[in-house]
Amino acid sequence: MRLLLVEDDKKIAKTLQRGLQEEYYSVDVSHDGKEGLYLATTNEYDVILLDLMLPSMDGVNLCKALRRKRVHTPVIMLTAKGEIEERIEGLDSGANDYLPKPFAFEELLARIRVQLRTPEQGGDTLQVADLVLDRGKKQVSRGGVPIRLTAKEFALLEYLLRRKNAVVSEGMIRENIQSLDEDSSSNVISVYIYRLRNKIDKPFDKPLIHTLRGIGYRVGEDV
Amino acid sequence: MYKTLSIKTRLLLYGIAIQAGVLLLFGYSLYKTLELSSKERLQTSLKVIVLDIYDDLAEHTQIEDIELDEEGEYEFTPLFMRVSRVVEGGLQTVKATAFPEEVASVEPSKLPLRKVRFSQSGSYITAALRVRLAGEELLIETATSYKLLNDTLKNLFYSLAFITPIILLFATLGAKFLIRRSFAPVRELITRLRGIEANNLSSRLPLRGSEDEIDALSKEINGVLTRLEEAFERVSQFSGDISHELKTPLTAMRSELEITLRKPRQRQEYEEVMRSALEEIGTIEEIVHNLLFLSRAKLQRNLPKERVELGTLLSQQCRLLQDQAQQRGVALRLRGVGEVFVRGYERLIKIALYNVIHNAILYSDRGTAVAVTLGKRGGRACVTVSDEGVGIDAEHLAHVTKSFYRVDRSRTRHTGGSGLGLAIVQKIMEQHGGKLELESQKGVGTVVTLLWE
Repeated sequence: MRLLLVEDDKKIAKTLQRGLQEEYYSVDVSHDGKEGLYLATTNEYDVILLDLMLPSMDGVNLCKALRRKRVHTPVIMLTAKGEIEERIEGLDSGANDYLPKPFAFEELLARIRVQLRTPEQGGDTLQVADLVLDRGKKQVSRGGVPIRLTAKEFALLEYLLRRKNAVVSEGMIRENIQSLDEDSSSNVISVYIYRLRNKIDKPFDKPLIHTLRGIGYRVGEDV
Repeated sequence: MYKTLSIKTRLLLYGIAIQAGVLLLFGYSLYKTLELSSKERLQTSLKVIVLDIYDDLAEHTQIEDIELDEEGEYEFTPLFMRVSRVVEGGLQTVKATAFPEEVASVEPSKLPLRKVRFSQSGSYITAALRVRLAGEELLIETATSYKLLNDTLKNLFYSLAFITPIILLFATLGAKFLIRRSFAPVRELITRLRGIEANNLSSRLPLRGSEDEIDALSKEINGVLTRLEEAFERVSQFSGDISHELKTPLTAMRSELEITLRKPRQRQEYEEVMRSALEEIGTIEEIVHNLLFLSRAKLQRNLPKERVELGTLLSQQCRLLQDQAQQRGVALRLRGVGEVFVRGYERLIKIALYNVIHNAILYSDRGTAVAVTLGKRGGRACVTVSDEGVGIDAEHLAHVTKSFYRVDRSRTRHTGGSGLGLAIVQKIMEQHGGKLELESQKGVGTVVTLLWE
């Protein structure tokens, strides 16, 4: 899952980025309003975390501009301004949620999970056949057997499970699970897929990750 | 005890006292006037009758011939008349009408001739006239009883004694009613005022449009309420700003600590986080320190001002900030240092100079210069600090001396500062009877001038 954090305070931004990365999110950071808007409209993010007081363009205007450009990525506003009127203004500008500073990091995580929930899925778990991924607990199991995954493997599996039965290209995967500051060699995704297969498919009978040569990958039960 | 009485009670007591006084005076003068005028009327009547008898005597050759008011023509009762002949060793009555015995006759020798004299004995009043008529000396006396008059006066006295308290009672009741009526708006005012608390300072007293004293009072109270409300709003805005300022370092610290504690880490990482938390605590401390300074600044007005030499202080502060300027690649230059004396508080002036120079350095770009100049302007000591930094827009210029006001609200924590620096300088200059002046041009730089009294 790829997040965009637009926060002018470098220290807060760095801390949150690290914390979120440890939660298997890939996080892009911007310290400037206009840059943040550029990133949000150029790349595809699952959630945008937006501070309100930003240089060059404030959070409310950024959010409005984003919605005008028909980008409907969920936005969670993070701000020291906590008055009711300010919250209303923020939400009315197009934000999906509003978290006043200082906040508990756990709560931020929970609110990000809320934004990631899809209507058919309901809770924070993703499932294909007997493979279950729990976003909140950061756990993966197949047929009740827990599987230990690294951060990148988890992120890759989550991405694939969210698009179950659909074909995704290597480019799409790279876009989503890698943040801007990571350098990516061409075969990095296939390496991750290989490792993931070793843990998820190999010990079990039915393979769930399928390769469509030259096109991409698909997760799902065999049709 | 008297002081604790309400105005209403006091007014009532005053009213009663004044009315009682007026009534007593009125009763007394009524009584006296009646007494005096009745007596005078009696005397006049007696005199007229005496003179009448005298005329009568003069007409008769034989004094024994006269008849004393045989027809009761004087219509004056009770009337006693006596004509006596003054003889050797006393008086010899010639003619008399039941003249009362108890009326002592006047010693004729003491009476002047042909002059009516009055005297009183018992309840009788007597008019006497000594005349010489046909070689004889005669004494004409008329008398009347003023028992009737006394009775009338007594009745009057009793009536007054009875009626005065009643009048007083009604007057008091009336006064009480009037006072209650005129104080009703005051009572209403008090009830309304009681309902006004810190959280509804926006409510105002209604004006009745009568332009009377109560309306004037209400207007004044409304004015005070408006000023209070404004002050209250400023304070709550200020505390809102404070909490906002404190939230940013708190957020940084909290996130950092929480995220670090989520899993075991290397010793080095813990040390880093602790150092970073200390930094945030430093920021919080600076804000708190400056806030305390601003709130205490009021108290220092009572201290005596001392003679302060600005040149020394200025070079001191410049030395203090030289390192920081160098680190930021800003050239700090001090010009025109001579001895310039002002009256003031050395400690505060140091803070003001430090803040102004520090600000100039913070908002300067690498490679530019900050010039500090000490001089005089119109006979007043004057320090100017000019930078070649970003400058301030005209729309912000008027506000930068306000607490927590920042031109670019998000820039603060990279440049540092608590957002209170210029507010403190402003306050210090006010205490010195001086001024803080700001001139700025966007992209050219800012000139800050401190002007003493």
